Amino acid sequence: MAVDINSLLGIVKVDIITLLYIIYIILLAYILVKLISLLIKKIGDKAGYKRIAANMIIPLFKITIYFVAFYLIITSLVQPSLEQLVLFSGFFGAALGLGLKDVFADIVGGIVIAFERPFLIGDKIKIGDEYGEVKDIGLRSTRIITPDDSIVSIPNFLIFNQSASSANSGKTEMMVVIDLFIDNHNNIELAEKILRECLVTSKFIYISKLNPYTVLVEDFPFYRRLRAKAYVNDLRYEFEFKSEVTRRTWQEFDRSGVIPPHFSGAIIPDSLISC
Amino acid sequence: MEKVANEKGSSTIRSIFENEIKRIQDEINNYDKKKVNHIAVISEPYSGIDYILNKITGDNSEKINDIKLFGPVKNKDYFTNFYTNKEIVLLRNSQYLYTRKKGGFNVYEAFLNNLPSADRLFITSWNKFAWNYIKEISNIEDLFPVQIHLPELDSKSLMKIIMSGLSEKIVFIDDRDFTASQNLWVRGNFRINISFLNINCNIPYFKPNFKALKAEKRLVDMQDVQSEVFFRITRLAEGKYDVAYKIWKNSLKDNEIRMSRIPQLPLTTIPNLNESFVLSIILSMEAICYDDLQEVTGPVINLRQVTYRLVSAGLIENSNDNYRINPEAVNYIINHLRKIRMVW
Repeated sequence: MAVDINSLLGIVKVDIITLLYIIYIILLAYILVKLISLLIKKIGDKAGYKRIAANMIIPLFKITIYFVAFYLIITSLVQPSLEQLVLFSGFFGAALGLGLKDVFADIVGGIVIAFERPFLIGDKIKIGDEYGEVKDIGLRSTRIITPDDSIVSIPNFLIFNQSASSANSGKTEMMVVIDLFIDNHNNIELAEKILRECLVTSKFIYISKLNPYTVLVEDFPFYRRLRAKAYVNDLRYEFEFKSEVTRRTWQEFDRSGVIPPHFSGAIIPDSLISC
Repeated sequence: MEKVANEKGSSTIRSIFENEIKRIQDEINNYDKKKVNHIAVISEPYSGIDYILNKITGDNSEKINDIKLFGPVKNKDYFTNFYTNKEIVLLRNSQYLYTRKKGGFNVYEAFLNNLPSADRLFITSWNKFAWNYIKEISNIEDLFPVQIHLPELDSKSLMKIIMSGLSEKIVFIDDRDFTASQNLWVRGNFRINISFLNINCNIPYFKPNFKALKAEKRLVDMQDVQSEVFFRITRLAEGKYDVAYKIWKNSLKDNEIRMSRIPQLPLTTIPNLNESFVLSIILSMEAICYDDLQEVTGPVINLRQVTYRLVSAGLIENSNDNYRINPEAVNYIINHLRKIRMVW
């Protein structure tokens, strides 16, 4: 089948009306995405512990709107006959090969995130070395806010070659691990009881059959580790929860004579502290 | 809490909770010292539990040692009150056996430890939120195999109880002002931030005024003012008899009920984190004095400021530094605290 390249290229001439139409579509898509995201987030905030579930549909809306916009723009430039489609595919393939492959991989990653939902807006996730709360899942990148209030943009294609862990998987409650180290000559039962009481009386705790708490003791050569595991009622209070329990427990330890480890110059390997 | 107007009203409540009363009475009748099934009666605040317990003690007065706790129990010696010559102990407000603070569970743990050897049948009443909390951190469910959850009353039952307590004719008056302009559509603004252009703009839109729509619909649908009064009261009370009765009493003046005296929903105050925590403690304890509350919240929360704000917002009532939830706000508070997972 012979294809008249010149006549085809003639079709993609862009006049001022088409240009205005494209700008209008882009602006409309952008505003729609913003409006819908804002609306869903507002509704989600009012829904309390169901807010993350409400936010779940934001990426789906975004992808749908952007793809419809993309389709409208393409159809305004070319009439999608078979020949033009073949030509467009050729150009598109060449563009991918020439440098847009990363962008394309990001977009595919965005679609995978939207449909497979390895994490949702509002989740606390760790991808690579980055940890924080997901603020937005875009077509190209996912934005998270780290504990020190930095916004980090993570390219969506990372989902294909890095493991992503979500600490709460779509729920507002999240397990928090609190470690306290005490000298191994202390009364361990007393120390454990104090930590347990400080944990369950915290204003941040959430306990249910599916969200139990526990306090574990582990012996190390120069100290004992008390590890509390419990669910914070809202993941946004993760660090406040840790801080509150640690502060109140140490206040009570001080009163009860429970002392921190006394190392006498011993050097603790990093591997022991971090395990 | 205020009581129903007369004996007829009380007997109506008891007839509505007939199944729960029968279950407790059956356990009392089948009480066997060798196999004791302690009973926990669990209810939300202001749900009228006292009417059930009064009926039980009234019918079994020679067997029951009726003890009501009015504040946190701080000494294990208090348990000596349980051991009279009566074989059944009815312990009201059992949530006062613990306090949500460091060291606040010693009395509670001692109570549970004594229970297997107590040689008594214990009927305990619990605040639902205190029970849901304490059951997650202890094995209390194993020790109280009979758990009776007081159901919420439906609107018809609430109306029946209130009406049965009336001895005089009541006039229902609809004095709402419907002539005032109530637009069915109101204007709203959507704030848009276009970050790459650094532009903030407001997009105006019209949204339906649900309040006005509802009011208009009810005006058309309303069979009579009496039905409307009860519709509004029972909607506020959400199945809690004591709440419905208080709203009824507040709205009643000179044998007249005026629609304008029934409080409006919703309350607009959204408590912050510390306020919500204080509310959760007051809700779980039902009533608590300032000093006990201070022990729970600790020095980090400025309790004077928090309680002042909560009282001002109409969420709690203060009577000589003794705090309790305002009955009219109780459902709003429960919904709020559940939403933020402060109670469960």
